Parts: sequence; structure tokens; C-alpha cells
Amino acid sequence: MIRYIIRRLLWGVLSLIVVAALLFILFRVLPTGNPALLRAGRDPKPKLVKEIEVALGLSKPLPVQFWDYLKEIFLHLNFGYSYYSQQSVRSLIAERLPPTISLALGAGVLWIVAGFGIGIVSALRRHSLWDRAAMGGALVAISAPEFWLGLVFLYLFSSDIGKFKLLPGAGSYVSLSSDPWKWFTSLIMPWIVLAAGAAAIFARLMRGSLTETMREDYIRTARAKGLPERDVVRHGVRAAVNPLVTLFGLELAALLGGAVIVETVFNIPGVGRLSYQAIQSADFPVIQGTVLLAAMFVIVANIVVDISYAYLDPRVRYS
Amino acid sequence: MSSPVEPLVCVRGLTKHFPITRGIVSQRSIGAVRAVDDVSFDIHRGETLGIVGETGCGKSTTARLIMRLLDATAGEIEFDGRDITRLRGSALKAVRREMQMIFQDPYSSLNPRKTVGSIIGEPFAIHGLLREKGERKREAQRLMGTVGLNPEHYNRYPHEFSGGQRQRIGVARSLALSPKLLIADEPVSALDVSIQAQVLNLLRELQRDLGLTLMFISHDLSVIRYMCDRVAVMRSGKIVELQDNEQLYREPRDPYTRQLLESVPGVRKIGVRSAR
Amino acid sequence: MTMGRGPDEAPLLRVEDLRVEFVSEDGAVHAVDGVSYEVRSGRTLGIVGESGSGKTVCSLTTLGLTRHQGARVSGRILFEGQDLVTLPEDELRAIRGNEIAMIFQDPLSSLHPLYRVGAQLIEAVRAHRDVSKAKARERAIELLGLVGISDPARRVDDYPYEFSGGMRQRAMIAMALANEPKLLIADEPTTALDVTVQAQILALIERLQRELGMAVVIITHDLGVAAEMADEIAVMYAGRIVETASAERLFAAPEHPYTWGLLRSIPRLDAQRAADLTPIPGTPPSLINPPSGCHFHPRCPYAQPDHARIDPALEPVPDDPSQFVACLLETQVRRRLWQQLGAGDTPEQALAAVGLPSGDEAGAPA
Repeated sequence: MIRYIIRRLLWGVLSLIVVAALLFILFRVLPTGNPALLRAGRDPKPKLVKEIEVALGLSKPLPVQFWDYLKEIFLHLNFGYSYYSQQSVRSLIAERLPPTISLALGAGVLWIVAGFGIGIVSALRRHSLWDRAAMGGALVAISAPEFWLGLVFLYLFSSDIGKFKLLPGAGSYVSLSSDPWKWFTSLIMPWIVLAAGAAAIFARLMRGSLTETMREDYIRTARAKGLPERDVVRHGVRAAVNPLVTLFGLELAALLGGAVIVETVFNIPGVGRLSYQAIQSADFPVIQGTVLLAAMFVIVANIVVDISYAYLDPRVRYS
Repeated sequence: MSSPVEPLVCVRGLTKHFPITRGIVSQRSIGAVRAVDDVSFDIHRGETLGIVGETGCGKSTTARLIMRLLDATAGEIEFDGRDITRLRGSALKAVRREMQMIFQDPYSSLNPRKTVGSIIGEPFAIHGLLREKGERKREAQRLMGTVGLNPEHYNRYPHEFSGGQRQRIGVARSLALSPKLLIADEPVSALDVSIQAQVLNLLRELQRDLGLTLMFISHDLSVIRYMCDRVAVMRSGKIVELQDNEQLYREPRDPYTRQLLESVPGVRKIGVRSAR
Repeated sequence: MTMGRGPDEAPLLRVEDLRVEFVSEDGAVHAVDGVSYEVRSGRTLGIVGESGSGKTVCSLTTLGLTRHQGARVSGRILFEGQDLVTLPEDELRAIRGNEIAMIFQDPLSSLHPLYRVGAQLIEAVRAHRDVSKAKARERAIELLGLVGISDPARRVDDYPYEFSGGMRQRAMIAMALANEPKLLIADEPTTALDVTVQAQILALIERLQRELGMAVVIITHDLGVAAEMADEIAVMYAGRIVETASAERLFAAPEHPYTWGLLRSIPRLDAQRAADLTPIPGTPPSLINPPSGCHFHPRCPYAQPDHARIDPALEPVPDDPSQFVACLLETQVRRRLWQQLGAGDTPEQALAAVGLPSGDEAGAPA
């Protein structure tokens, strides 16, 4: 097992290097011009541009630039400075990470509870009215675009512009440490919007998975042992959960990289919105930082999910 | 051309190892599962050789090695006087026409999306035979009749047939190319008791009528007793005893053989044994 | 109807005219069509039949395990005076795994793959006994030792996939015996196992039966297993019992043409190789539209025209009240047919010798 983990970690680092390399190539190749020009601001004088070029190391041969670039990122965790705000990318991301994490984790909890709960009940009462309503609702939740759902919620419940002024509106996010209650209420709608689609998918998957496992022989054995029905169902759920856990891990990782749409609609100062703004203003160092961050989350999640699978299913062995 | 007295199949020192690997970056082999371990036997023309053993003894692997569905780790396989151990490509394809296999599970060994007629006719298509219009169909229907199926069911799908009938389809398919050697790997284990005798009798009849050489694999000693001229008992990849049918059942030499025979349920009480 | 020559006590389990139907897209499946039998303490009943005979459904229904599949059940299953067919679910649950236990064919799929063996055993104990987890665990280790698993204290924490096939079946038996049931139903317990392991498991069941004084119902398609284990044997075909007899009588003097067909179509270790097996022609019937009258008549070489109309009842054989057969032929005629078959006649020859006209011949082979 240890060998397996080491192997995966090595491959993970390699993947990150590849991502960094792709970014490097992309930014040198894209026709948005000379980075030095961009940094030089308005009305760049050729002499200034030249100075910036040297400062940025753009006159050195490409392989040397690449090597320097890798060293900075991997050894010093230095992603450069935003063209826009001159702030170090690292500190920018550090600022924006907590809201994204709050958003992702909260949504994760909501979608597990809703997804599993609805899925289990639907599986046990297949073809009933509940089941049809739940699966129909799931279809709506999956099809509804996040921005639309977000705007609808704001329109209905936001305290500033909504019909029923229940919850704080867009832009009201505050950090957990400053005002826990406000933090919580400001995230309720974003959590629901983010979780809706994922919970719906999970409910459908859970329904299918549990339906299958309840047909297995070991369920018949559980009943034959005289176990109460809820324990019999527990046996089924335990077996049905495995494939869903892996999916959950991967989805959560994607969210941690920044839920761009929801963060934008609700004006939450997270990594997602940061990357969106950076793309709009061609702020390469920031884009680079957020992409690498997202890649890192996904890679780590993949490894964690694969390893956890070995614990969830003792038959899976990595030698 | 080999003389008629030579065995059809000669297997010498046949070995198959499946490696176990380990390693962080590159996988290195730290050992092997010896599925078949230095096995030697002959199959004489026109005889039925039985291979009997429990799970994991290597009997199915041996069959697949002879059929060249697997490559041997060591040893030689001679078929009809030729060494086929390392044959490849078109030479191997030519040899494949002479040996065919019937599988255990009649439910998964037939492609559910093909009609029975096309399943039986497929060997002709693969080897480019009977290109004349309608020839393949006629031949397939003839084969269906030979195995006791209604030729009019040519266009039906496997799921429309019972287990026993599906097994007959498998037999018909294996006879299409008039092979010299037929390997039957547990052909009746998945069938109901009252149907097993039908398929077993069919195989016996076909062997008599077509002069087939049969290699019959089973874990069921009573079925082997009924079908085979000589019997090889396998255990952990090795042959522990190879004898005439009568000899084996009356005076087994190896203690494992004796243990197998004694384990057959009902044999001590009443002497009756049912097929699995 | 009594079976076996045990003391004249009330049977532990008595099934009376059980009928079980399932609803399917193509119509009602008559899985069990009027079955009656008894099981006595300390005795073993073997139920022999092929797939589709209804043997498994019978036993699943005893434990109420077909209730979840929407089965329609009529008839009575009397266990210690209670009718299990009408018993409410929670009372039936108190009996499952407690007074009546069942083991199944494939121990790999019948044990939960993701829970440790010990945990599954502990569950079985605590479902019916109010004991602490620690006590239940001790009991689990004791049970594993009882069924012949070596080093049970260590093995109790293994997962099912870490056990061999034979060990898994032993673990299932241990689980079934956790609460010392009065009746053990074993559904094809050795079919998925190698022959040497099979012998060990059957011996184990016999030993445990003696030690615990249990009644055992063993369901199998394998006449050899039935011969080995059963005191009485009931032969089922297409949802009905066609013959019941003590094991000795069934093999020495079978009365029903289906039993003859089975005995003559299975290879024997002690048979001559030259002798051909005589298969039963045709295929087992559909349970959605079973044949009218005697269910076996389309495949019976001796069937007469009115056998397609009249349902044969299971009746005792004149000179042996413990043997029952459901056949419309007269006893004398049947016995002469069996004699002729024993002398080497084919069914056709036997028919002629006895002077019967040949009825509906069998259809196309399977």
C-alpha cells in the first residue's frame, strides 16, 4: 500500500509539472502580446518595455526561462505578481481560498445528505409517487443552469431585491471569524444552488446502485438471519455507497478549484471569481496560480479517492 | 504426413506460469503462479481423453494452451505431427481449423446479437470457405440437424433457446470446420440433470459417426467415467495419474485420485451418482 | 400424511397444499403448485428437483423470504403449531435465523463482501439474543471453531474474500447455527464447491445435526447428495411433488416415471461404460403455462390420453405407507414397467411388454 501511495504521489507531481509546462507554452504562444508590454501599462515607451523584459527575464533563451519558471513555482511557491494589482499571486489566492472552501464544503455536506437520503428512499419505494416526484425534481435540478437557479433564488429570497426578503443577498459574504451568523446565512442560497445539481445526480445514482445491491444474495441472507428491515437496508446501502464516494471526491475537488458561476452570481470573493476576473483581464500570473491550484486539488482528490476505495472495499488491493 | 498410428496430440513438459509483479516505478517479477507445471500426455486419434480435477488444478489452462489461446511458458505441443507451440499468424490460423472448443456456459458463449445461423456459419466466414451463395446457410442447417436442432430455427436468437439447446448450438459451431480435435471444457456442468444426458449422448454419437478425437474436461467423476477412454487426474498444475478408464475407477493408484473417488456423494451409501 | 419411521410425534414442520404464484409480465408463474410434506426433529428430508421444479421457492416461502417478491401464497406451513404463511412479519422475523435457519448455494455472494465475517456472525447472534458485543464475539469465535475453521480467533476478523470456498460455506453454516435452530434448510449447499470440499461440508452438516438434534431439509438437484444425506426424499417436478420415499426405497424401488427417468439418465461411477444413458426427452415445462393434468405427461413415455386431463394426487403406495407417488398409472402396471426397464428394455419396449398403448410421445429433444 505504501508503495502504491508513493507511486501515485510521484505521478501526481509529474502531472503538475506537465500542467505548469502547458501553461508556460500557452502564455508564450498566445497572441495577446508581450507580457512586458502588458506590464508596462498605458503608453509604453520602448525603453521601459525593454527594461521590463529584462526584469521579467524574457530575453533569456526559452529553456532557461522554463527552468527558472519551474524552480520558482515548485521550490519557492512563487507564482509571480498580478499584472493588475501588483499583489503576489500567492497572497491573492490565500485571501480568496477561505470563501471557496466554505462554499465547497458546505455544498458538499448538503449534497451528500440530500442526494443519499433522497436516493435511498427512492430506491426503497420505487415507482411510488415519492419516487416519481423525486426523480422528476432531480431532472429539473440537473437541467437548471446554476446562474439561472442562482438568479431565481436571489429574485425570490434576497433581502435587498427579493420578493420574500429572507436571506442576505449577493455580496454579503463575510468571513467566518468576523460574523459567524452572517457568514452562515449568506452562504445558504449559494450552497443550495451549488448542491442542487450534484445532489440530483447523486440521488439518481444512489437509487440505481441501491436497487442493484438490494437484489444481491447477501441481502437474502440478511433477511434469513432475522435482521430487522432497517439493518437489511443498511447492508444494501453499505455496498451501494462505494462508487458514489469516489465520484463525490472528484466533484468536491472540482469545486475547490473555484465554483466560478456561483461565486460570480452571489459575488463571493473566492478563487473562482478571481480566476474569472483574471481571464477577463489577461492577468497571466493569476491565471497560472489558479489553474495550478485547481490541478493540484484534482490530483490530490484522485489519489485520496483511490486510496480510500481500498479502505471502503477490502477486496481492492494495491500491491 | 504423420502415420495414422501416431497420437493426434503430443504434449511434453507443458508449463504455464502467470507472473506476480511488484515495484514502485517499474514492475518486477517476484514469483509466479504455476497454473500448469510440466505436464505431458498424448491424445490418440479417435479416443476421448478425460481431464478431471478440482478448481484451480490447471485443466482449463491446459486446454487453452493446446488451443493456443495462451502461449506456453515452456514445453512442446505437437498436433498431427507438427510442432505448434510457437506458431503464429496464418500458419496458426490454418491449424485452428483442425481443433475446436466447446465451452461451459451456454448462456455467455453465444453472441446474443447474432442469429443462430450466423453463429454456426461464422467459422466459414472467418476462414473464407463456402463462398457460394446460400452454401453457408445450407451447411449451417445441416449441422443444426446433426446436433438435433430444428433447421428452421436458423434465424432465431440464442435467448429463444433453452440451455441444452444452446449447448447444442455450441457443438454445431465447433463442428462446422470438421475439426480433428474437439475440446469440451465442462460442457454439461451448467445444464440441468435431465438435459445433461442428452448432450453427453450427442457427443458420444458424434464421436462415433465423425471419428472425432475428444478431450473432455470436467470436475465430475461420473461424467468422466461415462465419456472417456483414458483419464488424467490433475492437481495443482500437475498430472497425478493417467490411466485407462476401467483401471482408474477400479484400482486408482494415486491417493488423491482415491480421495476424489471417495468424496463423490452417495457413492458409499447407494452407489448412485448424479451428474452436476 | 406421515413420512419416516420415527416415533409417532408431531412433525416439526408440516407443509400443507402450498401454492406460490409470482406475477410476471407474461402471466402468473406457478412456482409451487400444491405441495405437501413433513419434517421431523432429528431427521433429514431431501428435496430433489431440477431448475424450475419449485424446490427453492418452497423453502424460501417457509421463511417468508418470498414476501418481498410479491408472491401470492396459499396453503399452510405449520411450524410448532403456528402457520407461517399468515404469521405477521415481525413474528416471522423472530423465527428466522433463530428457530429456522437457512444456508444458500453460493457462499461468496451470500456473505456481505464488505463486512468482516465475525461482524456478520455477531449480527446473527444479537438479532435474537440480548448479549453484549463482547459476548457475541466470543460466541462467534466458538461457532467458527465448531464448524472446523482453524485459528478462529484470528479468522473472525477476516473478510469473506479472504476465506476459501469451503471455509465460506462453513462460516455460513456457523452463522445459521448461531442460535441453535430446530430446523436447518440447506439450499444446494455444496453445488458451488469442489468435490472434496463438498464431502467435508456434507459430513459437517451431518455431524452438527447429530450434535444439535436438528431437523434438516436439504435441497439439491444431485441425487447423490440426497442419497448421502437424506432419510426421506421428495422428488419435485414442475412445482409438484411426484414421489416421496425413504432414501433406500427411492433408489431400490422408485415408483414414478420421472424418478426412473432421472435415475436412468445420470452417469454412475459404478456403471458399465458401454451402457448408454437414457435421457428424459423434451425440456422442463414453463411454469406460466404448465401442462394440464399430470405435469410430467408430455415427457412421460408411458403417458396415456387421460393423463392430460386428470391431476394426479400424491397417494401412498399399497404395501409401503411411507412411500407416496403422484401417478395415474396403476401400481401393478408401474411395477411391471420398472421390472422391464431393469431387465434392459427401452421405455418403448417396456410399454409393449406391459401391453399399454403408447400415449403422447415426447416432443423435440432439448
